[in-house]
Amino acid sequence: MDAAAIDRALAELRPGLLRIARLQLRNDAWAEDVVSETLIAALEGRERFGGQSQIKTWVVGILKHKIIDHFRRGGREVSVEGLAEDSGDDAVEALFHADGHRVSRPLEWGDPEASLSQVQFFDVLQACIDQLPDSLGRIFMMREWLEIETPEICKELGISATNCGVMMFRARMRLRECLEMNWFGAASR
Amino acid sequence: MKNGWIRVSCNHAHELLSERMDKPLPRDRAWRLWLHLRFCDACSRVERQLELMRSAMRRLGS
Repeated sequence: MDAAAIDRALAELRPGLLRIARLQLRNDAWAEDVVSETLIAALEGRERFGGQSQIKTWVVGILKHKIIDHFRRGGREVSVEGLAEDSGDDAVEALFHADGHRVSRPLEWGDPEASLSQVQFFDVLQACIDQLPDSLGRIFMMREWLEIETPEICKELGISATNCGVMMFRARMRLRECLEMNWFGAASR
Repeated sequence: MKNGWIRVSCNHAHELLSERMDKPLPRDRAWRLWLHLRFCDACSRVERQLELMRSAMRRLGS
């Protein structure tokens, strides 16, 4: 790829990067900031991009580093509130009867690759993450997208391990339901 | 299934599945989960679905 082609590719990637940054940070201004920093870093470092990976993969890698830098610097970006003591989550509790049985059987999702190879699946996935309450969305993205270990996340956020575990559970259950409703169970597929 | 020293409910099995994605389970809980999954298709499905969600998240954006 020559320099001009990389410039064009970076400009095209911007909206997608912003969408993901917003999912993680839940704040438009901060998302704009980290994406700008990411694109500048990519432009400055474009000689180092030897085409060894997809340009998208390379730039998303830079974005992850920039977001983690923000977290490390501390400050407002890291605001994740732990759950209040004994708080329930109706959306998750509604999935089970009082005796712990599921209210409805989960659907068979079929071959993972069939979904993971489709752009539209990732569209639905992002829409579902967006629907999570902010704190659940942030903590889930930290764990599953930034791939930070859970004990480190809890420690950085000052949330107890138990609280953190409950948040992860709720985020995963809500996301599973949303995907099942909007992708795996959708008749349009 | 109701919770007992050996049996776990689906609700609790879901919690253990989530917990296991963040850290290795202590042996007794790992064993109870394993036993539950052997006999419960619904929870086995959820187990695979959580794995799929993880793979998807790792690919998000790339």
